[in-house]
Amino acid sequence: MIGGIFIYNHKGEVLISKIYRDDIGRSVIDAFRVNVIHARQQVRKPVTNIARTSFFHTKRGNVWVAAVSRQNCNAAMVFEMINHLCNSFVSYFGKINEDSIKNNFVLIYELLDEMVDFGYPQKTDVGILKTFITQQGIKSTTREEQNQLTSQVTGQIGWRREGIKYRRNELLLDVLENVNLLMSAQGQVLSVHVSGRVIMKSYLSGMPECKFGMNDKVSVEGPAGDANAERRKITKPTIAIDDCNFHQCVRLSKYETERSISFIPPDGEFELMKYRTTKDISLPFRIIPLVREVGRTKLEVKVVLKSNYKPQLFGQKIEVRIPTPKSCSGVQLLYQKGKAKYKSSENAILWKIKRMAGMKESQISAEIELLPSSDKKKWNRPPISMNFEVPFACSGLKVRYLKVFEPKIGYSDQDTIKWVRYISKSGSYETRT
Amino acid sequence: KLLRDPEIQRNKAKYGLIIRKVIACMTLGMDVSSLFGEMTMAAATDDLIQKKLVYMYICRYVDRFPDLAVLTINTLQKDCKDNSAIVRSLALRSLCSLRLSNLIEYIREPLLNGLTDDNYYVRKTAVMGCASISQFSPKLIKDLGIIDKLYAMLNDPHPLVISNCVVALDEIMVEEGGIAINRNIANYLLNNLRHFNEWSQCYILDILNRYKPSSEEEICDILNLIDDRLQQGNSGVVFSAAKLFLTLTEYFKDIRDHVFRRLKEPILTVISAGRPELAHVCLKHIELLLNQSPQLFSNNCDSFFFRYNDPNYIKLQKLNILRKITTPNNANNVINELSSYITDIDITIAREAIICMGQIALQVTECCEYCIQKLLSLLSLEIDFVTSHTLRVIKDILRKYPWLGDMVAPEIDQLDDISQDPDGKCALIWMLGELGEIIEKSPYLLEEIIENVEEESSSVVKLHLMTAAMKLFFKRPPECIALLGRLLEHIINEESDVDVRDRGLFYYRLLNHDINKVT
Repeated sequence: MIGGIFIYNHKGEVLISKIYRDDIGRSVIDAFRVNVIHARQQVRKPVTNIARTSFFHTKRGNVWVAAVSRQNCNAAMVFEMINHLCNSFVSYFGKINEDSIKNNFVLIYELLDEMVDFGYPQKTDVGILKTFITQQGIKSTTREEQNQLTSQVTGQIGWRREGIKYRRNELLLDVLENVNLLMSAQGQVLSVHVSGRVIMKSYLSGMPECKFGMNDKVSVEGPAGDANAERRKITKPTIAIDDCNFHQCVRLSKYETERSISFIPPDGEFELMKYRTTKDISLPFRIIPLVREVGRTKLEVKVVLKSNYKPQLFGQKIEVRIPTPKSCSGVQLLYQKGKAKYKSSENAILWKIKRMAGMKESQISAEIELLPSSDKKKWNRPPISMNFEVPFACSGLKVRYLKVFEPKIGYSDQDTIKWVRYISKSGSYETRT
Repeated sequence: KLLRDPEIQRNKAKYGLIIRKVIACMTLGMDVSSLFGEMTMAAATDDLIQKKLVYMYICRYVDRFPDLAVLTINTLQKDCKDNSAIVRSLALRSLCSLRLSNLIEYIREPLLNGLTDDNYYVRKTAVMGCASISQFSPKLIKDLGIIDKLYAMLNDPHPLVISNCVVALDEIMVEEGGIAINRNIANYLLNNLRHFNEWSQCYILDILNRYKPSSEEEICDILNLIDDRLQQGNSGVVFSAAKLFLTLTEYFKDIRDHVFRRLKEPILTVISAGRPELAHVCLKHIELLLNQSPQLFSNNCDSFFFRYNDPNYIKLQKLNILRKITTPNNANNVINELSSYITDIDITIAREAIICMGQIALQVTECCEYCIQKLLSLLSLEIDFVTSHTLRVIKDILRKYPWLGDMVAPEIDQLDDISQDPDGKCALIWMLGELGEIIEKSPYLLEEIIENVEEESSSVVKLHLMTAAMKLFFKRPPECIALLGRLLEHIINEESDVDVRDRGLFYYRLLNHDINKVT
């Protein structure tokens, strides 16, 4: 299990050191510094083995966070632990950098004490931790209050405490998707996938039971062998999710049997589920490039950008990046929408459009003058990449329903205010020329 | 560090600040042990944070001051009976981390009380404390009969206590191979798996690896129970569950195939969604899985295509995996993809990509032509190291598929720039020799190289040169006789490397002996 956790600054000085087990001595601190931080290569692998000790590290900002172990422990778990740790730091004091760590070292020691005992991660839920570890320090409290803080109801629900009250009961759902596309020069889709997360912000009183439904193919059509599936297929579009992961509060057994996602949400913001789809993805933008070489000194590039979604919706922060060869001496641009600039430092033309409605087409043509060069090096064209944000889910995921039941306090489903927002961002969206 | 002199500071805030300074110094590695006496007095305070810091200090330095340590015991014991659960467990945890044999006696009572405390928080800390003590003093554990107590506590109402018990038993009984899992315990843990928090699930799944089910039915039952764990958001749990899947089905081949297929999707999700460190761990696991089931990811090669901001180590791993999962179906796609990586900024990646393409061509016969096409198009880029590696790879491919020589020949003809590193040159020379009859300009290209042979330092190149010259001579004698003669003359007379000169002499004598026989 985890033998110790250390935090270093970019020079390699130790900011925080916490040793959990006896088999880790102080020499490991130096070992890590010498072998990883001051190593010559630029990018090091996240796991290093030195003299039977494994070092797992990640770099956040200018700070190195490392976990050490002498046993054969679950590597994925250690990294998840480090992630949780860093997320909780951010949640408490904002950015992670050398100064914030130095200013909050007491808090960090408390967190490390609380989250990991003898090398085994215990409880890492930030919401719960915040109830008894605060930046101002704990005032000693009476017995009743202490009991309430440390006993989490029946113990089954370690992520939400009793007695939460809000005047307005609200539920916000964000469906955040990352669209990744690789398209060939001929317009053929080489690889496409969408990785999405459903983030929920719940401001609900009491201990509400929530049920979440979406248009997942399996849940709508029911398990295989459903006779109604044929009829239902025509009416509502469904999506096929390749794989999905849920937060620990979701009752997975119900998902297996009834395909319904039911849970008691933690208070505040949390990630409800992560999913991935590769089929039936509607690509919001289509880039059609045309490159023509005129002689040896000029390159004519024309790029057509088509938006492929409903006309009422608007795509935002659209940026098209057209790479240019190194021997480029000047660029003349012709375009109607947005702003385009040639950046010689990046060897690319950046075309920025603030907003673009659906089913519209826009184009940019560039005449690139090349320096006459004697060597016949052919420019291997890097792909055109894009960045954007659109207000719908490219995978086609739709939230069908979100029901809330609170038996004890008794506010009904109608009383809660619900918002759903879909945002798809570009991940790696490339078209080859 | 003598900041502690004004210790009679009744001013609590300042007192606290000084304590923090001490701890800050301790973190930086400075030796603040001389303040031990004063710090122990600071332990008697109401401020919880200050208490925590002081206890941390004490645990760190206690082994240097065994006599003074007894002072702290008083405070610790009092705290173990405090009203607040947090203080109790803090004191207990600190007690158990003190590694001094003369203090062991004092730990008995608080520890036993802690195990039966009302509050789950104290109980869970006590259990971990047992594990901690057992590392230092196994005798105490035996004396108090802790093992039996912990087994009984597996029925505790709170899941965190249960999982800590499991882990503690595992640590304490490490000489006997860890906690003994019998059927009852295994069933109990499995059925309640979803009540444990995500980290506990990791440990419990790991420990269940040791359980040996008695029948195939039981295995299937267990697999069904843990199946939903693969949907958990925490990838540690996903991998623990996957490991358990594989351990259980080790001897059942037919279920194994199902298992592999079931594991595929969750693992692929982890690669794309998580941070690079998790992706790295995931890819390592995939490599291991591929050893057992080579065809597993053949339909998913697009998941292993590079993302634009993947760090280097991830790219290298993905290349490795792509090499293993290429089949005749997807070979063309993969090769297309690889050829676009050649222009990567990092030379290592570009080089590995070329080598990978070559290996795929060697493995998958169907795509070798397409591969050669792509490789030849790379030659026209005229980037130094690309040309060199491409030639090497083409040479290897030609060795296996000689009929592709026809495709290669015209390109070599057009190759003007010969100055590359030794290995690239060797490859080129070999090809000139092999395909001499098809490549028009081969004698002339060879001649160019031979003219510079005095400046050539690599012996490997010279050896290759001689062999190629000989081969070419037999294929096109009139054009080559002069250059062969010149080469041999230089080698025999002026070459310093013994190996090379020997070979030269050998060829010369062979030719002299009887030209016709040699042909």
